[in-house]
Amino acid sequence: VSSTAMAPHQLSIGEAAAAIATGRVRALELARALIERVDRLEPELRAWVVVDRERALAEAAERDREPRRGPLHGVPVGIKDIFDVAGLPTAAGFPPFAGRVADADCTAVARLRAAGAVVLGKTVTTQFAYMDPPPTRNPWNPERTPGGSSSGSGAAVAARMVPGALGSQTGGSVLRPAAYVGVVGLKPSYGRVSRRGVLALAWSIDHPGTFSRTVADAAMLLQAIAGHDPADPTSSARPVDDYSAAARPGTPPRLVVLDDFVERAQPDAGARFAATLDALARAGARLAHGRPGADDLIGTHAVLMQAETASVHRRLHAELADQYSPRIRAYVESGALIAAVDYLDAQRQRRVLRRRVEALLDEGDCLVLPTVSGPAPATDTTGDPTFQGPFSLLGLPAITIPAGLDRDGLPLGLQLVGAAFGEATVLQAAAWCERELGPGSPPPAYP
Amino acid sequence: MPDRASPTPEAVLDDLIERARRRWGDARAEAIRALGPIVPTGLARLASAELGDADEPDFLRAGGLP
Repeated sequence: VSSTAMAPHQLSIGEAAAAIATGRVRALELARALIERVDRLEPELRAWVVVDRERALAEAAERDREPRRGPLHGVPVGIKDIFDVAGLPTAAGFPPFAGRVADADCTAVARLRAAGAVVLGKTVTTQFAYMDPPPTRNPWNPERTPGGSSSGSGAAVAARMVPGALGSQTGGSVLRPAAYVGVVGLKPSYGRVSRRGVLALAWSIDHPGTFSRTVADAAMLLQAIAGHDPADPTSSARPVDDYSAAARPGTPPRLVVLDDFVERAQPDAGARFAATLDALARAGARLAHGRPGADDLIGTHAVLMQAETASVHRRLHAELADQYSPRIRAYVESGALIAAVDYLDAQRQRRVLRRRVEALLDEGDCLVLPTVSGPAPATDTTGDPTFQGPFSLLGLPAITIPAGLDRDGLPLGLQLVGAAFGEATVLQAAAWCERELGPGSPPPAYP
Repeated sequence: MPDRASPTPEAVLDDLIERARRRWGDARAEAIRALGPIVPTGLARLASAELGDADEPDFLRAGGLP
């Protein structure tokens, strides 16, 4: 048995990869330790749809035997259950899909494996990645939601069941759960990560994204999955930057505070965001202020997402409406009533709003706002998507990092948003903020 | 400059629910009402938005990202 100062489940992606590369930890030892932890915690947290024990252990043993594949060699990951993983069902929280076994990995998962990652299993999604409450519980407080729709990915990373996971965001489904459970969530630019093999909800705003416990780990995951995919017509051919090199603190960033979002935050969350900004300014960050039009951004996102979701689900809903969960069913039925001209106006308005936000990005490196309007609410909801959805609408890269706890000891997040394909700038600014604010801590019940 | 009518979110919601009753029935219309005002509010704002020359040549992509 190898030795390390930390228990295996406490290792970040970077630490785990380094420990495996230097022989201090075997990939099989790490996979076994995490599966044992999942088995122990899962009855409380319900973060997993399936843990692929035999295959994960076999792949980990193979990693110990074979030459190093890449930067994630031997690192276990979780995959949201709307991403195809060969040999496992992509059930999307929809009972009729329980036997819908994927015959190939989606591009993002194939790229993770090519970088050496070991797929531990599939994590819980809300049904079709919409907003019906999941069974998953928040590791910080079981009476609170972990957020959604990437509920299991967030909870599993926060509870140290796995150091990294994939999720997806159409409204706020990466950044919101990440903030609610106190981890790092990254939603790259639209087109940066292939959507091939990922179940659609609203195609022009669906984004694969990542969960991790550090900004550097987010960069490692993004590095593995980013890049052009000829099989996804919306995937960008732009070259991929060196994200791991970028994800180090540089000079203090110039941040544009989005005041009209800040004003919508709950009082305690707003006060803590102000304190966070003060701390960053004292450390050297330069602050400017802007008002991008929160009401327009929120409303346009809502119309566009609902219309596309209704189109995506039109045929399945016609056959199996009674099998749908209540909210997604009503959402699809309401979306079917949106007029074509309103959907097209939403697309046109998106262009207007992009120009408006790009003008603000000329004033700084990143936009900054609270990730969430308040801490995680009760388990009958997945929370408020209005602080994250606008940047899904605009296709811009966004990241959340832990930004302290509220008065009840629940995590809050700091959201940074960059220019299209400016992931390197966003990661560098986030790494600087992470250093100044301190890393996120584990939930007290799951150290 | 815009001469389109600018309905209130409440009026948009009422219209949506009425059409929902005809299309899906009373029970489904009430389920749709329970989704809240965010989409009706968005539709009301869009109806009065100044869109200028903002066409969307490729709306498969987010905001026309290359």
